[in-house]
Amino acid sequence: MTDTLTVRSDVRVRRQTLADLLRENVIWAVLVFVVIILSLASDVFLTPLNILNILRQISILGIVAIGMTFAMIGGSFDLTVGATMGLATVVVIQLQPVDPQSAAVAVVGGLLAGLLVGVVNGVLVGRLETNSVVTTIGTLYAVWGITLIYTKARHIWVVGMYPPLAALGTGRLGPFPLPIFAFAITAVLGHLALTATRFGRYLYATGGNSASARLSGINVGRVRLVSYMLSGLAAAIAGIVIAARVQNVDPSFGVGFEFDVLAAVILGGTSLFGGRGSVLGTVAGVLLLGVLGNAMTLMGISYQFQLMIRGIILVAAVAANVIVRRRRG
Amino acid sequence: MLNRWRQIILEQRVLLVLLVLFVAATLLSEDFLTGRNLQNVLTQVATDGIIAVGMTFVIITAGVDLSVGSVVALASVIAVGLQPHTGSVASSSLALLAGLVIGLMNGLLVTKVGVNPFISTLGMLTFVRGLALGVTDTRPISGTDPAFAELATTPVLGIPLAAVVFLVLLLVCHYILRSTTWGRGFFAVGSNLEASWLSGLKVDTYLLAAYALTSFTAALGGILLASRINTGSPVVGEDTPLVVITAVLLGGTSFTGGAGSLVGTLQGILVLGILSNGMNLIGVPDFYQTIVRGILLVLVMLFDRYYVTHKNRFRLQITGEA
Amino acid sequence: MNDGITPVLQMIGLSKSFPGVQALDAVDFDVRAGEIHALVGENGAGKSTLIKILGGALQPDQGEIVLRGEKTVFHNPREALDTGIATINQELMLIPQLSVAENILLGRLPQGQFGRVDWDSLQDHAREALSTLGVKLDPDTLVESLSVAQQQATEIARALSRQADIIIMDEPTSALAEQEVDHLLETVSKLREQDKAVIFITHKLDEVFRVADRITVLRDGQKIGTLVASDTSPAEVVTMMVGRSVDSLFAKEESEIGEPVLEVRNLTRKGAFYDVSLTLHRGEILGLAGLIGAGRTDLVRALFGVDTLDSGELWVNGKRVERLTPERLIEAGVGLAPEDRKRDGLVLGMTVSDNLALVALRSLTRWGLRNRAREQKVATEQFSDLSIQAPSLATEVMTLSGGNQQKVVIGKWLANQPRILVLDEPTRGIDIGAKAEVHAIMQRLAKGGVAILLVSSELIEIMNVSDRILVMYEGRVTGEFTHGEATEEKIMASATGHAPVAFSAQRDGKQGEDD
Repeated sequence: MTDTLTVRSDVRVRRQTLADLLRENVIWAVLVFVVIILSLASDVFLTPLNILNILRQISILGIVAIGMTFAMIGGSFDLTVGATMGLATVVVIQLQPVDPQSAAVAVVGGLLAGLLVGVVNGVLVGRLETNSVVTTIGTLYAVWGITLIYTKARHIWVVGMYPPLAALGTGRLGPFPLPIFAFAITAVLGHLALTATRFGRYLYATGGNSASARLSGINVGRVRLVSYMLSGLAAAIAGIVIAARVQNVDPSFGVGFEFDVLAAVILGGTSLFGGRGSVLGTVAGVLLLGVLGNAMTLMGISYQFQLMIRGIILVAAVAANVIVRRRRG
Repeated sequence: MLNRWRQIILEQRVLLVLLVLFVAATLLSEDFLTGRNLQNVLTQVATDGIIAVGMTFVIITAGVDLSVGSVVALASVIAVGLQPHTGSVASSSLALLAGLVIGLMNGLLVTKVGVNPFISTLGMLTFVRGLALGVTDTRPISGTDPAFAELATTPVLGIPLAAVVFLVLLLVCHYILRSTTWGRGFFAVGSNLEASWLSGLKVDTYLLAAYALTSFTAALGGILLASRINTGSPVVGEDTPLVVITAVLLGGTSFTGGAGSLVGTLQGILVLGILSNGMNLIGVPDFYQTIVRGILLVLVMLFDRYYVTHKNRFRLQITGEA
Repeated sequence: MNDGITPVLQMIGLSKSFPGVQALDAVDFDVRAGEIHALVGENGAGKSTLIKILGGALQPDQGEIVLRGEKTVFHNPREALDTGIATINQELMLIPQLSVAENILLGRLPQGQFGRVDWDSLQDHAREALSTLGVKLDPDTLVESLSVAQQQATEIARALSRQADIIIMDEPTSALAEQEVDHLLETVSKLREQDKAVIFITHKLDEVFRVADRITVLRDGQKIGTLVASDTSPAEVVTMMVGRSVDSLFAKEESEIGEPVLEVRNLTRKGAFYDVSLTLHRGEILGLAGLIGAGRTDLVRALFGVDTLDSGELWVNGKRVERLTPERLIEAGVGLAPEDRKRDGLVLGMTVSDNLALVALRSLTRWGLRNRAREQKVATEQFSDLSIQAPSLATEVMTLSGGNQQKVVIGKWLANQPRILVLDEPTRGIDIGAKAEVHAIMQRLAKGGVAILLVSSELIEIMNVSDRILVMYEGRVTGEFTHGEATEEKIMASATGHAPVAFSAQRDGKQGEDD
């Protein structure tokens, strides 16, 4: 609400209490709690095979979610990510990467596609300052359409994918499926980008208070543009991994995925309004969704029911967030 | 004089686009201007159009409802699924009731808990979709009532019933929004919540009503859709929210709330419908339509932004500056 | 209007304090029907707090409100409104997309059959309300296309239409042009004719003496006195507003004033400031005095590239700065600590050290990578230099007191070692101790060669700290005084548009000349 209703009084100094600490890392606490309960409830749950399964399954979600986290910390929504991921997958497969050269071209093509989508969103939302939700939905449609045109609406295959590329999706390093590494590397790089670079600080400032950021000499438009590019890039990486793994794709692949990603990002503690969030939090959110999904499957809960539970969890998490913020400020 | 024309064009831009499309379609395809085709168009836009009516209210209050697609699915499932047990009338009524309840839940989450409608309706979208899939075990249900299957397309004075329902709903809601004292309140609430509250408007009631109406219309749309395809399907409606929101925004309703009109929504939905129909008639593949829709949405956003910044010459606030 | 008439609204012994500051101290105030009662005082005197309590937005710590003879309590603004007290704020409570008529009767639209809006009745009501005010406005016009003055008139018309009989107006003329001010004052007079009670907050004494019947002066949260307008003079009011013993917290140190480092030539933006020129010198503290609405913050923000400029030039260190943006100004060595520290100066969700390092970050990073050690060092330096009170550098800035937040804002700029520092109301809302510290910091900086442009509405502060003082009124520079020449009366007089011969010719760094 506005200043006419609230008092602009000085807030006194508050020491960080244990409650504060818990509140900031709630998601990890919840995750640990859930894992403990599940491992007690099911023998199968905490086995290496199952854990690896979980990790592999959520790798894709995780990579995209880390990208979206950047956009959200900067204060903007990016709902195009699902379509972008699909586009990248399609580009890779359509370019038929059967030998080293075509594989290289395919990968570069996929990455460029993601970056390009990011640039479009970044210019529209970041510089021209249109509404991020509606605009990225529009871009979603446009990208989806491009994907459909490019594939002539047909399901496409690549037979005999260049093995090193295929390994990215199906290979292992020791017991660990490679997609997990892709996720881990993305997470590490993302975390570094947020915490160790000047851009990271600028991003938090832009999302936290763009007026202050501007007055501090930060080029807010440019910061948002970069955040969208990173989001698009992450989605593209995920798309490439998928292409490597399944080597065929449906032209509408990915559309609808953005909502799952959004759920993971929000569960991880990133604020809808910008200025707050972390890669670690998003990872926790992704893990939580993965763990819950896996648990529900182990328990034989149908996909439908899982959807219902996911919906409830999303709303409950945000509601809790809102109530906590209200009590704090 | 020129300025006047420019103003008219800016304000009636959607109508102009509609006319252009109409003319283009007529010229490009001889099948377009036939009675059968036009009836087809009306029936196809009716389902989404009904939902767009409800969505207009929500967007005017500066909110949004992403769960409408799932409600369409659930409603179709209830209406068809319960037919053998209770008859079509009762099953359809139950479907409408379900829509109403979901809408109220959406509204309560926004007003009482204070969750951002994006997230709350997003969660509801997932929840209801799961519910629809759950009760049908993911399989569509075939209709067992031939009368029900005819419902949507039954001609009333030559026009399919679905279209009639759409137009009647549109007219009634247009009247409410434009000409009743209660209806005017939606604009106030969407524009300046505090000022509305101060003036005694029951803002919570307005928000609840907007969300309840939207879900209700989604259920209604679901029932008509179920009638048309004579199936209760848990997987329909995936891109309904996007289509409907595009139509409403195209029609000039502002995403930031406080302004909009159902006439505009009608124009928006017709633009999308004729665009789709026209492209079908000339044989443009489906996927081009998607991209066109996307580009259209982006252009609308850009235009909206341009329009808003250039209108805003007079600031509402007297800022107390040194 | 003789004494002995019972006031329609009375406040008795009202007190209200906020952490560190006593905003109101046992204030008595009353207003009668058919009266225009002006409430005047410097910034921070307590006027806003008083009317917020009257309007139901705040609860007093002590004291009573007596409305029409009965003790009343307002729990929220709507309650106050329902009992007939309408507050017209700086932030207008209107619906821009609806018409004037619909705004006037917001929430009470006349109904016809089937719940229809009775448009004719609506028009009539609106017209009536507007004509009672003597305002010429087409009720069908959308509020968003009205000028600020017209929007205000609409809000006043709404108050009337709601049968409000007590109308409070907070600085209604601060955004109006002269003609519009005339219209507004006429409107306010009409309200008096309607037997309404009007409480009118303003800084502009000429307005006060044009319409007010009584004048109450507040100072430092206390009521100094209530005068009958016809029995007093602007000079007397000014003295009451300002008259306290000059309380120097420290002696002004002589500093070496060097060459011009910042020059502003003929800066203009319609509606905000006109033809403003000034020169700032190395090691100088130039105070920019004036009251709210004078255009100082507008000027300073335009200078920094945050708001637009119609015309004018900016020269830093002898070089013209084209295309003003914050980035360029910062590169040129300028810093701006803005007026609204929470909105523009800090990122509340970030830590103290992050905020402190934000501007200097550019020079603290190499190839885009942060050097945490250097950031820590810089932040720690500022933290201790400015004696910022906080549990640690990792504390969220949101939890700090106002004074400490302000120090973080200043520290943020100091960390970047600016040569020119613009401070807009740096000590607003902070306690005496912190204030003194900020002043000491400013002196220290000036001694070190930093040029400071200080915008402040507090006379004492400006007078104590500045080497030279420029006064603005309604967007123009109306007075200039050296440290030695300045007196509170002179400055106030220039600031209220009342200066007889206060303007000394603009000089270039020469000191010690008497006027």
